[in-house]
Parts: sequence; C-alpha cells; structure tokens
Amino acid sequence: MAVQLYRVLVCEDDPAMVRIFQFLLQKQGIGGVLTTSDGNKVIPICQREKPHLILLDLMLPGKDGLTVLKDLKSNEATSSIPVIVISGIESKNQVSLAIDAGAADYVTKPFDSMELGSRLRDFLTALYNTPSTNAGAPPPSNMAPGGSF
Amino acid sequence: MTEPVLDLSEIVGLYKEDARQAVEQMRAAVQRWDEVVGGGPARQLLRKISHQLRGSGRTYGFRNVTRIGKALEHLMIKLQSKHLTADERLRKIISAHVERLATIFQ
Repeated sequence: MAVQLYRVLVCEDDPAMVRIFQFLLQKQGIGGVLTTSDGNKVIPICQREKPHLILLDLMLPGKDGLTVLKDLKSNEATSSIPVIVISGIESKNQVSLAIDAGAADYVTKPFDSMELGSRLRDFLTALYNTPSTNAGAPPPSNMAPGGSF
Repeated sequence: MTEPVLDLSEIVGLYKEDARQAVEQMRAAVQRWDEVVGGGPARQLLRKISHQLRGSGRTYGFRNVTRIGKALEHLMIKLQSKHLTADERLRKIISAHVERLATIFQ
C-alpha cells in the first residue's frame, strides 16, 4: 500500500504537538492526517474514517486517553486499529496500563522528531505492506508491529 | 558521516508564537495568585501549560523549555499534593521560571 494512502488520526489537545505530528507525517509522505482534541470524538471519527493508525495522548479533554484506548479495543469496529500512546506521563505504571489496555507502543514526550517520523513510517509499512495484508483495511488486532519505539 | 537533520524551521516560528502566548497566560495566572493558592483555574492552567511545554520544548529543539517546563510542572504537582505551600517564596520561584521562558521566546 502506498504511503500517501495511509490515514493517521492524531488525538492531542496541544496545538504545538498536533502541528509537529502533521509535519512529521507529511514529511514521511503520509497524506491523510486527521486530528481531534476531544476524547469523546475518537470513536466516531474512527468508525467514519477508519484510520490505519492512531496517535493518542493520555491527557485529553472530554474523555481521558486510557478510557479512549479501552473503548477502542472493546469496540468491534475499531479494535484492530493500532494505537500508539504518545504521552508526557513517564511512570512505568502508566506505560503498563496503556500496553495492557492494548496500545501497540508507548512513546514519551519529549521525543526526537526525526526518529519518531521515520519510525512511524516504518511502523505503518511493516503493518500494511505485507503480502497477507488486505491493503486499505486495518490489520487484525494480533498483528505485531515491525519495530518498537 | 554526518547524521541527517530534520529541518523544523517551517514550524518553529509558529511554535514560538504559540509559546509566547502561553507564557503570557502563565504570567497572568501568577498574577491571580489567590487562585493558585486556592487550587482554582490559575493553578490548573499553570500545570497544564507547564506539562505542554515540557513535552513540546525539546521536540522542537528547545531543551531549556523542557527543563523549565518540567521544573514548573513538578512544583505544581507538589503544590497539588500539599507537599508545598503556596507562599510568597513559591510565587517568586514560579515567576522566575516563567520569566526564563519569556526570555527564551523573545
């Protein structure tokens, strides 16, 4: 699947971080970047837009990120969409909670922008660019990412 | 061999503009010190902006912003958990941190 066809949903309430995610993803050639700052809107957007990847902040207004993650994973329509948590919360307990709730990975802010950009691209390529994958559709939930952050 | 460098200059200007506004909001919050003492909106705002600057600073190449944001957030967490008293000394410390941020984004 061509990189520019990927759709990534950025769930983040800090405009500065939204801007850098958009920038990094566009620099990697990823064409579809959707954004929301409201935790309550994540599921409806996912049902409508079917993103290939979700970048999820934990401190979201409306509904906190961990609850959003659990809701995504318990919803048949969204459970297979990989979620990478990107948060300023560094505690090991929080990382464990996110991974246990189904996050594909956990990235701590601040991060190295260039490294994150290329790893996001590698992550998507590893997930969707395999012969067994149905291009355009989110992968089965048990599909492992190609690399960790 | 030289490491490739990601040129963030396209968006750094916008970041600095936003950060200057955030610093102004922090200054105004410190001015409402009674709200900080009482755990009102000014305290919540200081904590939120500190947290955001900690996360965004180094990401945009401003290591000192992350350092100061982290220090401020730490103070606000300690204040929230009542490990610190919102006295005049704390107000001066917070104010000094905010002014250091202002200098960075001048």
